[in-house]
Amino acid sequence: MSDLAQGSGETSTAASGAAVDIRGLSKTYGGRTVLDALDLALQPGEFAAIVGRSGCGKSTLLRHLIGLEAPDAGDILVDGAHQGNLVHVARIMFQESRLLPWKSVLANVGIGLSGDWKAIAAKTLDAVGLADRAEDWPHVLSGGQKQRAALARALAHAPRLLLLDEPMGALDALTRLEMQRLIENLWLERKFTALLVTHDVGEAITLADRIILLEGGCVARDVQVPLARPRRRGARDFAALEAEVLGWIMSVYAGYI
Amino acid sequence: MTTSADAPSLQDGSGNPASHPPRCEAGDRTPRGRILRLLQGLLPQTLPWCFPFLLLISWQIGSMAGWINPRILPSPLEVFVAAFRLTADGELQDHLAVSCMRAFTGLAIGGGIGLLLGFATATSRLLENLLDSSLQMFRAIPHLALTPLVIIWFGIGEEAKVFLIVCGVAFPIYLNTFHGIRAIDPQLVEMATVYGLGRRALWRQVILPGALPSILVGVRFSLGVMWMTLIVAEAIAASSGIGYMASNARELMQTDVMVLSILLYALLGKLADVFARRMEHGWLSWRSEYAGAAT
Repeated sequence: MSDLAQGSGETSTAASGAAVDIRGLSKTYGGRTVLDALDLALQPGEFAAIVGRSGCGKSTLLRHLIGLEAPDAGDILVDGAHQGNLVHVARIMFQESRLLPWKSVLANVGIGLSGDWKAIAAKTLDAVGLADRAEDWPHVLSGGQKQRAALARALAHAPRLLLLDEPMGALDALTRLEMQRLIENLWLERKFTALLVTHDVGEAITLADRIILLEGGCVARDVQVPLARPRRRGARDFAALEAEVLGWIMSVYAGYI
Repeated sequence: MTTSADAPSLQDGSGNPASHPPRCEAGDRTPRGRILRLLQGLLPQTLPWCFPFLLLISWQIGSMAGWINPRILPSPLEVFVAAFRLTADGELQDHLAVSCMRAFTGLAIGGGIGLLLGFATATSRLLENLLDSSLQMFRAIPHLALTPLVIIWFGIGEEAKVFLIVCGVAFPIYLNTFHGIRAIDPQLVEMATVYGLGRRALWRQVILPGALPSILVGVRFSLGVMWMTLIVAEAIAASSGIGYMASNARELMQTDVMVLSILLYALLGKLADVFARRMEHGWLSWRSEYAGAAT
């Protein structure tokens, strides 16, 4: 954790994003192939979104990247150097906030930090707009506030790569829009590399530079999103792209039924 | 596009809980309103004492009217006089101190053993396989059944009583520690590991606080077992302590002292329970059911 701990001590928000190169990542559970020699490269500071129907291996991929699962085969390179997983450069946000109920919001954000963790945690809480809830217990926060605290917890480590495992999947529509805007702003400001897993195509197009369709454990499609930010859902080119991506997912899905 | 500019608008959307509007009664400054408010404030504290107080009064009236034979059940006043007499002798304090010493020594040793065994079996599959079924078998033995054997082993010294209490309290704490640790949300443990917590930090920040509610349930249960075991052990094999005082009083037909001993046990049990509640309120203030109680 030393490199992350040092990174978190920096006051500069311009921590550069990590370049990630995943090569031939494979995983089989009891004869079922979940990741099939998956290749994926992320540019520094890029925001990529992975979409796909449920069970396509998108959450499994993130769990392998963060080191919660060990792959059967494959290689992960960070800035050209071999790494077993990304736990030393990345932080992950889960679909559930996973805040420790016995720690205050501030202490939750400061988890795993060393040194002057209180100051770092307080600053990051302020960045997600929760400065006044620092001393509260997590159970009094709303769902959206809990996820914002979880985002602060991830960003407090100043990660060079942020993994987002459907962090807005359980939020209501309005809170989800707020959360998307918050993530986009923090990403623009801090310039980390981001990898978002989502089942919401609109969310992927709102946030990502690049949309990756995962199917059968490998990358089926990989397209750039040429839209200017901030993106508006109502816009014509947005809607066209959304329809196209949905079309891919549905056509792949149709092949299975 | 700074986040600080966006933050306030996000915050407004989340809706902070509004402070309660002042109640209408608070403005009621008439004497009647004041008395009502005073009664409302006192009621939650006085209500639990109503029943014991009524019982005591009717018991005293019954004794004074001659409905209750004083040789079978002395009046509360007589019990009070006995308590006063024994306290003046210094006898009561000595017995109390000896009993408490035994009880808490047993709790500390037995609780420690239960806690360590619980930690060991909950964190290691190997140790669970090795120990758990044996422990479950041992747990099925009522520990008081060991009393005759324990007297042969240790005589009627302190060891016998402490040993019995150790046997009694270790299992509730063991079981609850084991289940407390096993019931911790694995998602939280996952989060802690990917957020860079080492083994020690994981224990201190996640596993121990997560298991604490369950461990405290075990402690409360153990406190009950502790007093019960002490009564039996002291009544059967002792030369001091409240249990000895009670069985000695039986020999001498001192019903007032016998009733006093029983009341003392009730009081000690209640005190232990209050103590356990305090621990829960202090350590588990993060739980919604204790919200505001610790402050």
